[in-house]
Order: sequence, then structure tokens, then C-alpha cells
Amino acid sequence: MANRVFLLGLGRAFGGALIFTLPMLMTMEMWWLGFSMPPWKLALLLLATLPLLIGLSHYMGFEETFGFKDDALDSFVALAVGFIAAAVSLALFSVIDSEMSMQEIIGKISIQAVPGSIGAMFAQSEFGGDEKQQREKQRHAGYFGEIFIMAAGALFLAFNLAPTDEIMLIGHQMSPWHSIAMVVVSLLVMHAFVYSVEFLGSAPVPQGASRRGIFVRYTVVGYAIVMLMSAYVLWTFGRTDGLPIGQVISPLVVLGFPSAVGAAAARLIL
Amino acid sequence: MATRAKKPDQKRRPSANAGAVPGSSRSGFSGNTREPQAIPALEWIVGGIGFLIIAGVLGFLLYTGIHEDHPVPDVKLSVDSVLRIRNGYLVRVTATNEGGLTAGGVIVEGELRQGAEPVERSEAVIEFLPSRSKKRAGLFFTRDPNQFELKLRPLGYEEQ
Repeated sequence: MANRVFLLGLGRAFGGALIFTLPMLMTMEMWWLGFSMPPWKLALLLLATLPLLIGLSHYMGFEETFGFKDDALDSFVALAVGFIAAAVSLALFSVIDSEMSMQEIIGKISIQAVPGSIGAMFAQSEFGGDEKQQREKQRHAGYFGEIFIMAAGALFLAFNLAPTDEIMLIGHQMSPWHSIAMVVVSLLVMHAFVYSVEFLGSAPVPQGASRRGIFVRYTVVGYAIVMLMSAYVLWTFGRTDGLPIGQVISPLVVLGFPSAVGAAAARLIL
Repeated sequence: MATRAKKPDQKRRPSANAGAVPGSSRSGFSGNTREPQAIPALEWIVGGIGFLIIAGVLGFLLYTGIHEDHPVPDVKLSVDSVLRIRNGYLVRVTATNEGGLTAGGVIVEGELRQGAEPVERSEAVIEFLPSRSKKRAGLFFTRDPNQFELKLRPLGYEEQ
């Protein structure tokens, strides 16, 4: 019985992994990153994914009493799903085959398994049947939980867009004024999301919270998290290699825009 | 920090899941019971697989990371087959990168020679040739390569 329920959840997880990663599975820059990225950067990315998954599992619907063991187990399940979904899809697309080196195959699969396992974890929230429970849990997520969910949303969107050349291209096309405007627009869009979450949506309204308080506590802090996540993803994908710091700012701001939307939307959706 | 106010009850969905399978009150992959010990065996197995995969991949990545010191690409070319096609001849070539570094934009040159005299030259570009991987390419010729000496060599590449 419990196994059958688990199988259902597993199917849902595979669905989530596919829905969330197909755009990346079918992006050639992501394939190339799999073997051009230095192994230690990939290892670091996988190591960083683990606490992210454990945190997501913790904040996305588990009873707090369930504790670390359960969240860790679910994270490994999500990783298994992410790896298997990526391996099967890439083999199907003939992106990996037996003539390739182990390093290429493992690299190509691993980099896709990161968003895949996050997608598998998201699926629990997106398609999970038990809404009431999730609402209850979110109530307990607390400020740091909310910030964590924002970070996960930002990372996910950044992962989707950072491999493409367009982020760098847009960055180079923009004047400094465009960059400033983009920061302002990112903050506004983010605040619109945050505001609607706080006052209309599902997240709890802190008692006596002023608009300015919410702007600082969620929007500004959230945008800082967004910048950090975007910078990490750009660095991981080798986009910052050999660039002077001044040249990194505008692609960072460009990537920050979708990441900000991802961060703010994650709170609304999850 | 202010404590969070409870939502009014109408915010909760009507218990749509009232008829859900027993033991589905916990969300997560197993969606199972409130008792921690009720984790199904299958979840342990899949979780274990996930653990083994991630441990194996990390071990592999660290191993390759440590054992690679300033690698370079090392491209070997070999002729698979020479085919007569409608508009001339096709030489199918396999490029193997035996080095430790991915080569991008590898230019493969094929030359037909008669003695020391070059007769015809042809080239192909392999966009990505990861380390220790094989890729196939084709070179077109108007003359029959079987009648001449065929020389293959990689011309250059771009570092990825």
C-alpha cells in the first residue's frame, strides 16, 4: 500500500523532472557545458544541490516533526529521478551514446540532473494532491524559509537562461542606463509579486507589517539573493571566465531579471 | 520579528482530499503517514539508488579533476570507408580525441597525393570533440581516393 502511494509520487516526480527540464535537455549549450565545465565545478554544483533539495523538501510540505532523515531520503529520491530522467532523455536525443567517454556522458547527465531533481521536488508541490497540508506547512516556513524558497526559484530560472548566448549578448547591447532601468524594473516586478503574495495570495501576512518593511525584508533582500544566485550560475557556466568585473555586471543584471521573477514566483507557486 | 498571523479558515481549501487514500496525509514522494517509520521499502531503494549515483558521480568527477594536469587534445584520424556517390566520392572519417581536453572547431584535412604532388584537398569541421570521444565526419572528393594516396590530418582547434 505504502509502496503503491510511493510509486504514484515517483511518477509525479518524473513528470515534474521532465516538465521542468525539457527546455534545458534540448539546449545544446547545456550539453556542451557537461563536458567543457571543469570537473570540480560540476562536483561543487552537485554538492550544493543536495542541501538545496533537503531545504526544499523541508519547506515544501513536510511536517516539521519529520526531520532531517526524511528530507534527506526524499532528496536522494529526487536526485535518482533527476539522473534517470536526464540519462533516458539524452540517450533518446542521441546526445549521449556508447562511443563517448565516461567523462562526457557523466558530465552531460549530471548537469541536467541538477534542475531535474529540483523539478522532481517541485512536482511534489505543484502536482501534489494534499493542498491543505502544504498550506499549513508554508505557514511554518518562516522568514528564512521564504528566503530559501526565493533562492531556489532564482537558481532554477537562472539555470534555464544562463547557458544561452543571449544573456551575454543582451548584456553587451545594453547601455549603463539600460542596466539601471533593468534593476529598477526587476525590483518593481519582484515587489509586485511579493506584494500580491503578502496581501492577496497564499503566504501569511506578518502582523503589523508595513509596505516599506515588506519591500526591504522581501524585495530588497530577495533581489540580493537573486544577484548572488545569478552570479553563481554565471560563474559555474564559465560565463565570467576572462571577463573584467565591469563586463560581468550587465549580464548579471540581465540574468537577474528572469531570476527575480523566478524567485518571487516561487513563493507564489510553492 | 512579528509572529505570523494565522490565516482565516476560509483560506483553507475545503477538504477536497477527505476521501484520499489512507496514509496520504504526509506529502512528499511517498505521500504517506505521519509515522516516520512508515517509509515504504521502495522509497529506501530509490533513495539508495540516488545516493549511490551521486556518490559515484562525485567520486568520478573528483578523480578526473585530480588526475588531469594541463590536458591537451590529441586528435587521431582514421578512414572508415570510401564510397562512390552521385557527385563524386565520399571518404568517411572517424576522429578520436585521445587527449584530456575538449577540442572545438577541429578542422580535419584530407589530401589526395600522387607521389609528393597534391592532387585534391578537402576539409571538414567537427564542432565539438570532447576528450576521449569519437566523432564522425565526411570528406568529399571529385577524384577517386582509391587511385591516390590519402593523407588525413587535423589542422587546428579552439579551446573550450
